[in-house]
Amino acid sequence: MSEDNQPTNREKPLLEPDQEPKGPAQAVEGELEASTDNTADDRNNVGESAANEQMEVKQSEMQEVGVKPTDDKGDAPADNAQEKAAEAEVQPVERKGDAPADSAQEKAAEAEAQPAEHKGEAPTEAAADKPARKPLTEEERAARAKAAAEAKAARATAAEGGTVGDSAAEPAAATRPARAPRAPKEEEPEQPKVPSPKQPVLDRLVEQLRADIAPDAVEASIINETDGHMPTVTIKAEHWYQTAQWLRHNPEWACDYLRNLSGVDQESYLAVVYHLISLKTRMEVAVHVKTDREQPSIASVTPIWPTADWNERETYDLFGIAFPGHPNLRRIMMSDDWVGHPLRKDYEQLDSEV
Amino acid sequence: MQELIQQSFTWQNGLVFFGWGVVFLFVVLGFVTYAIYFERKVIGWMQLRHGPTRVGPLGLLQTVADILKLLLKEDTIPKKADRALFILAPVLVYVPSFAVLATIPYTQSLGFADLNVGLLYYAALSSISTIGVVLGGWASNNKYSLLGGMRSAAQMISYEIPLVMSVVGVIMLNGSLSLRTIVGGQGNNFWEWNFLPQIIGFVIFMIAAVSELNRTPFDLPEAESELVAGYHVEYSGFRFAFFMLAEYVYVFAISALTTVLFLGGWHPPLAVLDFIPGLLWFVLKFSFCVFFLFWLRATMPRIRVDQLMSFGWKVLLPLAILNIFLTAAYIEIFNK
Amino acid sequence: MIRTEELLLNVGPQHPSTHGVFRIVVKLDGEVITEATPVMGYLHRGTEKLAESLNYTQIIPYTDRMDYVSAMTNNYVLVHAVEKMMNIEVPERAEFLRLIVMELQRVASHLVWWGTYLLDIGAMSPFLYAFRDREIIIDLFNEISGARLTYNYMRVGGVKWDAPSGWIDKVRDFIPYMRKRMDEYDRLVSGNEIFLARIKGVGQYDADTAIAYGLSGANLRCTGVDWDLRKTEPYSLYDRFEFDVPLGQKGDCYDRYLIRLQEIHESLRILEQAVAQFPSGGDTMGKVPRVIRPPAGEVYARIESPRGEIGCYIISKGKAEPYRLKFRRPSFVNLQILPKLLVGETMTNLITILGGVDIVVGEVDC
Repeated sequence: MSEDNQPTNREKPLLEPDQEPKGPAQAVEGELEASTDNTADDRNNVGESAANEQMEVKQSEMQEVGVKPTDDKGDAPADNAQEKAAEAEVQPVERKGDAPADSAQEKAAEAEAQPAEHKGEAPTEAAADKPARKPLTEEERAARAKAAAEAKAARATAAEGGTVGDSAAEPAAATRPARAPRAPKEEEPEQPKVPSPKQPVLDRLVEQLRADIAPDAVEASIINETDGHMPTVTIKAEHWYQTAQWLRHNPEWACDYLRNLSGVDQESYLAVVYHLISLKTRMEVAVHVKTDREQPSIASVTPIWPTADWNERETYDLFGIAFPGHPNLRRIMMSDDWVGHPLRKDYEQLDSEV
Repeated sequence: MQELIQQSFTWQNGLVFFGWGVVFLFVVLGFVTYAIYFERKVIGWMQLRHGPTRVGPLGLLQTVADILKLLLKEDTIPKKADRALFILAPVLVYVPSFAVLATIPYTQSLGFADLNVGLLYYAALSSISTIGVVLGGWASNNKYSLLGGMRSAAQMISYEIPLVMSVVGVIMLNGSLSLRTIVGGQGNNFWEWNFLPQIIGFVIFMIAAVSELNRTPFDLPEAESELVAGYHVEYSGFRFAFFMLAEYVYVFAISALTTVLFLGGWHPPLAVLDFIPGLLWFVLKFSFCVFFLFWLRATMPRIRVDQLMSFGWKVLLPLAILNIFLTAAYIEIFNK
Repeated sequence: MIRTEELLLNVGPQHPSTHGVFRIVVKLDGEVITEATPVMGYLHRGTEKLAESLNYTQIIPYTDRMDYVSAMTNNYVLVHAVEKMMNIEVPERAEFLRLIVMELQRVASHLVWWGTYLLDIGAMSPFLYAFRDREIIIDLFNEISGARLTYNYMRVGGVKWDAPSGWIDKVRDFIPYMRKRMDEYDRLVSGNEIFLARIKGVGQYDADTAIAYGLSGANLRCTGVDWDLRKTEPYSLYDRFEFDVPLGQKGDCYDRYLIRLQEIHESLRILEQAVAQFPSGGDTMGKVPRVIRPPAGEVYARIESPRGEIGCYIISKGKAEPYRLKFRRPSFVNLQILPKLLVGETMTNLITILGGVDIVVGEVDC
């Protein structure tokens, strides 16, 4: 917590945000598996926690992606009973967030239902002071499972237009009573381990890429639940150009529209994130390509998508990533004689006293 | 005044001429001042705003303040500009504008020079201003003004031809180049004015006149949004004031010419109204022409240079020739 | 021997028609452009870098200043991204308010574009008429948010201020007034011969080029590609309202012009429906924690601003400030087609084409 830059007008103690289901203050990858369950109850995104578990499983397989699973449950928040009680009214917020219904009426109904439900919950939680998570009563768990299932169904239909796999999973989830908590985690809300509806799409993509490009082309792949279940892959830099061409010309993916190209400075490496979509087939994918800090270089995709032209120049200008193959790689935002790459995390400003 | 002009030139007459000249100069300058004011007002009203209201009562002294500002500004000449030509250009533009005013008859008795080649004199002198514009564009040593000057040269030359040819029909009908004769040939009713029999010529003349004046929709040489100010971008202070002065004196001249050639000069629109002095009719018709120019400016977008050239050469010129042909046929058939 | 040279002309950065501080270096052969190179960065204020040390609520005013002509949609893209990440539910009244101000903003932005476009083309008066109508919208925004241009109105989870009493009625009254005005503008401009001659057939490109260059908004739809994020990836409450997406056919400036005018009509339609369905009570702010700390993860939220697809890509590491915040700005991306379109055109058409792309330099440079 100490490294956060808290806004200065906070009057609450620093520990409070830990209670919030949004995730812990410290975001550390790798702590996920240990601590996922801790904030599961308070997860604003109840339906996601199931998917999160799945992501954790995946994460154990994959290397550092640079993409956090959507809910970084982080470290074990230290609950204090007082603060729990104090933020009893904050929690209804998150409960409401727990079940994002896509219709206002549903929301309103839930809004009434949940604060009552959870206000009743808070004192019990406060009373049951515990280091990690609060135990849920049976009916609360069932209620939550139901709400979560509804929420997941609603979100899934909204995001994907309803896929069969999802709806099949939902009844199973709804009918399942409270589960026993899983081994390394504290008890979980009984989210069924519903795989994301886009998971098969992602798997197929990874398979095809491994087959067509190179077996090690895909470094990592997850589904980004927060972002509408966007398939996200990490491609090795040396295979990127080929992969880009594959994505562009493959009849099923046909990603002809490069929406966004941004550089990212993760402290140990630099990366470029591409968001692609096909206007015809509506398949979308987010691609991360990593490169090292000393001589960052990623193949330019300007020959494939001309829109990458200035985006790559901007990334070069602000991060220093070279794009071999780019027709005109020079600075675009900063003046031509600027030294340094401003958006890097270790950039020293000229006038740092200001 | 006619008798005055016919008399021989003695010191006394010379002083009288000079005095009249000064009076007329004041009239023209007063017109310029208040034309600028009224242009801003009228365009403002068309754009739902007030226009100048602050300087003097109702903003009437606005132009005076503007001209005073221009005259008091520093006289900057760009370092690499061609000094002599830079200084000469505005002069070449505004001197002819005053000179052409001499031949226009204002009323039956009021006129300065009754040249029997009055119309030709007008056309010839107004072409000299084109040289001034090109010189200004060149001498400024600025790419924008060069572009503006070139555009302007092309435009003014292209539209001189339809301008002059459109009045050939009028000349043929009256058998004379003298402006006084042309007005005399028109009658005391508006259907006897020249604009109806010579309707094609009238329309061509109006369009070509707007183009000669470098006003919207033909204001490419000074297209603000493209060339910042075209050929007079480097001019400031009183030299710029000369360009502006020339433009508005030309507005005066063209409106007066339109009135004389096509709208009956000092004749009333209906014969019963001839108790109202001719000068007033002249002023009314003249004011209407000026207002029409302002109205066009507020309403129309700007035409593109290649479209302008093609319009001038491919549309206006053939129509003007057609007009001449039709007039000739009419004269021949009806033996006027 | 006559020797001709190519003229190297600098259009901008101070120029009446470049819509901001923006420069194009143009090589001219007479009046014909042989090469055009845009130079930008004069308005680069480092919003993305600043965002890394501000919490999300503090970034909202910065978004106002990016595309200052259309500040409400900028606000929305940021708060929408954060809400997506944290799965915050926005109350209905707040969402309605957001949608109404966004559509009003779309009308205002298109009016600014229309007025300035015609001013560039040479007609002076439509500029004033457009701004007169925009004044009414700005006054509405002033009432609801306190500011005329940079509203800082939306917050993560809702909106900051509720509509004052009578505000919705004023919006309701504005709609027929604006419709009448649109008729007048049509009669004044859209049939004008000179104007049509200036715009038709200028700056034409086809759908494949548009998609390859990542164009969005009217620039993409003028080629006939049906891609409007309000319909294809609905956000906010757009899926509740009926409206059409105007499409062009030829992909020239005239199509873009007509599409944007028609979009004003469609926005008025949406506004009508939204005002009719406006909830009479409700919160303006959802339940949001005091410190907004999205969980670690990333999101790319995109909405349809008047200029095209504006996107906000946030990487969060669970702190109160974003780790990386990138704005995908439509003007920046749309402008890339300019060098390609300008080769072979005249200087006059440069202004016409540049105005047709509808850029705001604050957004180009971010």
